[in-house]
Formats: sequence, C-alpha cells, structure tokens
Amino acid sequence: MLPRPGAADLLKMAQQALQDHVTGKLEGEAKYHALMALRAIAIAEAELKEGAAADAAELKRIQALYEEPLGDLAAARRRLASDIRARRFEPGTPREVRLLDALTATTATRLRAVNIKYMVRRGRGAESAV
Amino acid sequence: MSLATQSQAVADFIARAAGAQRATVSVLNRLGGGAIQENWAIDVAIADGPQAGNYEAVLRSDAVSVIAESWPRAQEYALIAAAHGAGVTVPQPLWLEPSGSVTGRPFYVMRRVRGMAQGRRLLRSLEGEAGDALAQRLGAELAKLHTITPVTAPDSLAFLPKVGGDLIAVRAAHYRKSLDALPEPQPVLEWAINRMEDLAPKIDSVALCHRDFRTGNYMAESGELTAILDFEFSGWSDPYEDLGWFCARCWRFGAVEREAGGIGTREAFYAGYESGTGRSVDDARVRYWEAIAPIRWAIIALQQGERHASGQEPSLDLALTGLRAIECDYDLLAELPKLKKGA
Repeated sequence: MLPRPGAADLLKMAQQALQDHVTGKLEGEAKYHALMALRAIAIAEAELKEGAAADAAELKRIQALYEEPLGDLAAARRRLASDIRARRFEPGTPREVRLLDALTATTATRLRAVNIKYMVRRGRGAESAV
Repeated sequence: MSLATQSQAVADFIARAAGAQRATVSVLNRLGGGAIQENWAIDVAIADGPQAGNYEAVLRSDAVSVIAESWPRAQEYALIAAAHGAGVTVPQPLWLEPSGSVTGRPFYVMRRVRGMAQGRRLLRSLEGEAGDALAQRLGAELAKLHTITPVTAPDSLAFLPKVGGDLIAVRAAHYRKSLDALPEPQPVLEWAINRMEDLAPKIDSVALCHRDFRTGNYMAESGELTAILDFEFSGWSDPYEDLGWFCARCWRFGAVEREAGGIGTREAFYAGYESGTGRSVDDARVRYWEAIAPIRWAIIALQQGERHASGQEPSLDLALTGLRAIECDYDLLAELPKLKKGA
C-alpha cells in the first residue's frame, strides 16, 4: 500500500524514537507503559518479518503428521487440537514423538518472537527435551 | 464515574454497615497490581457507634470485565474472612457491599497493609538470608490456611464447589471447557491436560487452597511478611497444589535458581510448611503440581488476552499478558516429559 518507508521501517524508527527520547525521561507508571509499548513494537516487528514464513512452516509440520490434506492453518490447528484431545497420539509412541517435535518447533518459533530472554534463561529447555 | 466522585455514597454505606450515624471517606489513590480487580487506598473516619475510629483501608471492587475463574467480591470477602479466622496473615476484612447498588459494582473494604507486593521489586529488596526466612514463613502461613477443610469450614464457604478423589478429572474437564470458550485452538495445552490426567496422583484429602499462592500475591516490608492477598481463585483442592504453584518456574520472576517463589530455597519453604502441619512434605507430589502449573496460568493468561482482543476492555497490558501463554507452552513441553507417574 505505502511507498518506502514501509511498515517495518516505521516501527523500527518509532522504537528508536521511544528509546532515544522518551523512556529515559520517564519514571514509575509512565515508564512501565512506555516499556510495554516498546515491547509491543518489537513483537509486531518480528511478526511482520517472520510471521508468514512461520505460519507456512507450522502448517507444513502439522500436515506432516497426517496423510490426508488438512486445508489452511486454522483448520489444521483445529484438527490437531481435536485429535490430541481425542487421544489419537498415544503417549510413548513414535507418533507422539513426532507430535511433540512439531509442537516444540512451533512454540520455540513463537517464543523467540515474543520473549527470547525467557528462552535464554530456560537454556532452550523444551527444544533439548525432545 | 470514578470512585473519587462516589466517596459520599461509600461513606454512607460504611456508616450503615458499622452501625454509625456518620462516616467520612477520603479517596487517596488507585493502587497498582489489580489486573482483575480495582483497588483504591481510602481513609475512613467513623464518628460514632461500636466501630468508631480511623481506618487506613483499601476498597476492592470488581473490574469492568472479569475472567471466568475469578470469584466475585462477596465470595472473596468470605474467603479472606475464613483465612483471617484461621490465623492466616491477611488484611482484616471490614465491610462488604455485595449488591453493586452503592457504586455500581460490588466492593468490600479491608485494612490497608504496609509493604510491597510487586514480584521483581520484592526479589531485589531481599538481602542475605531474608529470602529463606520469608519462604519459611510463607510455608507456615500456607499450613494454617490448609487447616480449613470441608469439615471445619464456616458456613460462609458453602458456595465452594465440592471436590474429592475426582479432583484431577474435574479440573481437566474445566480446563477443556475453558479452552472451548477461547477463539483459537491450543494443541500444547490439550496435550498437557492429557498428561495431567495420565500422571495424576491419588487425591485422598482436600483443604482450602489459595490457588494463586505466589510471589506477587503477598506483601512484605523489610523482608517480613505483612499480608497474603488475592483470594479470588481460592477453593477446595489438594493442598499440594498451593505448594507446587508457589515453586513453579513461571512464578520465580527470573530468579529460577531460588525455587521457592524466586525468593528462597525449596527446603526453607518446605520446612515452614512442615512446622505447621507436623508432616513431611511429599516432594514428588509438589513436583507434579509444579509441572502442570503452567496449564492453569496459560488459560488465565489467554482469558486475560481475550478481555482485550474481544474489545471488552482494550488494554496493552492485557494483550501482552495473553502472549505469556507461549512461555507456559514452552515450560510444559520442557518439564512434563520428565515427570513420572507415582507422585
């Protein structure tokens, strides 16, 4: 829709402006709100940059657990959740291992975008667990 | 209309509730930390009658929108009063207005307590052995709360749903129903709920559990406990649920090596609890509840996020809280595969 600068560039500059000129001058609740806004911008940036590829990869991972086509990502997620609840991935089976691999990869991708510091503290716990 | 413009109505209510002719209320400020409720610092002066005197107090009212798991204020008041009666260090409950007719929303008033609750600030304020001492004290407080059982409970707690040996099945059904009410499917939580059922211990007794007993929900001053707060999720449960929730990694505020609430050692916390109950803590049982704790936190976080996303209560804070469910998913995938049956 827009010529340059695009959405990603605008977000980056908004983030920079907040960091350079605003947050350092604030205290207490105002600073808390500014930091939340900065965090939201960082997450939105990651979503813009990687969201489409991450969604495609997630659909591919879920689809790989099935033989028949599942449709789009929303349908695939619904089907997966419903089959897990119906216990169609029995514990201790190769099928469950493949399920956990898929869930872990998707969760790790999301967490990297939302709070990579949490993963640092965690020492990549979930990814090394499977 | 904000509380500041309703102080006369609140004062008139307090006068009636306290059997007085006249009371005045000064609204000081809104207090932080109430994501689900609103808390206001108020000063109350009762001119006459049996409760005459000055009270530094907090008025706690329902928020604009609430989440399904949270008790309304009248029930929360009954829970605090029961805990107070059992000797738990809580703010003294003073007056309850359950109808919503005074300010438009139900509220209650309790004594204001000194100290701070905010998790990360509290962690930073603890020096030397203070964290272990606080963890031990909190263990002992929890033991007092758990002396309240369905047999010993006052009639005012009759509203609490009964549970017994079927606790985990009831909980699993409740979680699945909560997930069905959310707009997006949650495959990790579905898997974790199955594991919660598969690995469930035998539940042989239940007690009144706080069910949100964690750093952030108590106040301390100079390392000393001043009050346990937020009984809005309380109910009958396996007492070990409270111990596991307190130790859960998601409630250590980054201080993951201090396993008891990010403030002290697990041993100090257990020692405090054992001093109150006279029984050894079953560590495996704590670790079961600890490993499944992120299921519940994830559902609450998703519900909080939905308060924003649905347009009911637009808030960046709530929106970001919803995203914290991803951390829970990650913890569940890391910890649950390690858990063995037989806790």
